[in-house]
Amino acid sequence: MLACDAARDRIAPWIAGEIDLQAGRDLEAHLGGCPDCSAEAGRIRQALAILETGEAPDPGPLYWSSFGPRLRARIAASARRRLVLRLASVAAAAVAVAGLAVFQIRLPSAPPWLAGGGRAAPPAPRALTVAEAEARLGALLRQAVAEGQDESDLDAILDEIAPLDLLDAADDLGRISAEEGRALFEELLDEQV
Amino acid sequence: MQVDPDRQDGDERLVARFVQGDESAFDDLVARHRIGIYRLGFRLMGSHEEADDLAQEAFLRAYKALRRFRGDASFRTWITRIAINLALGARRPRGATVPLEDAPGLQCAAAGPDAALKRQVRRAVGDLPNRQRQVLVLKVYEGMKFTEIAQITGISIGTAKATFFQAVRNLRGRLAPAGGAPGEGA
Ligand SMILES: [Zn+2]
Repeated sequence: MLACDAARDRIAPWIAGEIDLQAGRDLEAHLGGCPDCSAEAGRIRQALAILETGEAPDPGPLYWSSFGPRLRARIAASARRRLVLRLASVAAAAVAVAGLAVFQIRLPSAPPWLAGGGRAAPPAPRALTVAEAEARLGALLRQAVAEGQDESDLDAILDEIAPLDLLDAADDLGRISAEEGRALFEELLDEQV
Repeated sequence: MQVDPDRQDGDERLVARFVQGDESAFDDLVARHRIGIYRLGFRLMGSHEEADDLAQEAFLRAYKALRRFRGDASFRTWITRIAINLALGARRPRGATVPLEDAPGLQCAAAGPDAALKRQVRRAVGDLPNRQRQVLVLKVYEGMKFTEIAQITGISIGTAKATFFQAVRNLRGRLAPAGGAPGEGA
């Protein structure tokens, strides 16, 4: 006859219909002659039955009437966040171009690395074009995915690199000032290094 | 999972309509699955607030990823997987949840002689380790087969079974010792 410990190991698989025929018969024989294990099986069944019939909460019609609209608002906010991020990188690129122009006016003769000639040049700290800014952003996101971020977690990634408090500064059309754009873009570049 | 074939067919058509640009098809998908995902969230997380947040977030992610949905699982399986993964990643501060009985506006039939036992079972489920609670909820509440549970949670079928049996034994162990702990009475 099956020992009680072994019998109890089989109760859950037996209830779930997940043991083979012979093991099931052995268990049933044991339960037939062992009130303790039989009671244990009864309690496991009872606990599972309570789960199965467990009250499925329904928050009610008022809740459901707001569920869809709230979800749509979330979807819109998420789309807006992406738009703002894109605009921010564009704004930052524009600021970088403007900054370079000022730099060139102050220096009558551009340094060799800026002029593009001369000796072993350090990496040129030149302005990014809009396309380059967007490419950087894309690279950041791909990098995050490569580091194990789920692609569907894109929003979380955007949250990380475009904090919401910064986005609060955006107006209704999602425009943000060049200064804020630059601040964001500098953060992006910092993180990439 | 016991999915009505007509219903599943309807889901496929809605997904196809959405991919072709019909936004309202997504609202229909939400309307069909929101209560199931809410209840799953409630059982996994233990409070109305967390269940609400989980359901909203799961559908938001589904919206963003639906155009990449390849249909190798049913929509229901797919959205369940999203919700499960969210629940796995969620932090659950102990004691910070509102018990069902105390949540306002919930229609809950927890009265009667076995109300205390029901409460005890629910609490015991909440105390299970994350993975065990998930597998138990998917098996018992969602009525899934172990192959589906494995697919959704990303574990092997054998591990899914073993986790379920472990969860059941743990659950029993956490209930009031009516008649002695397992292992006694040999
Ligand atoms: Zn026994």
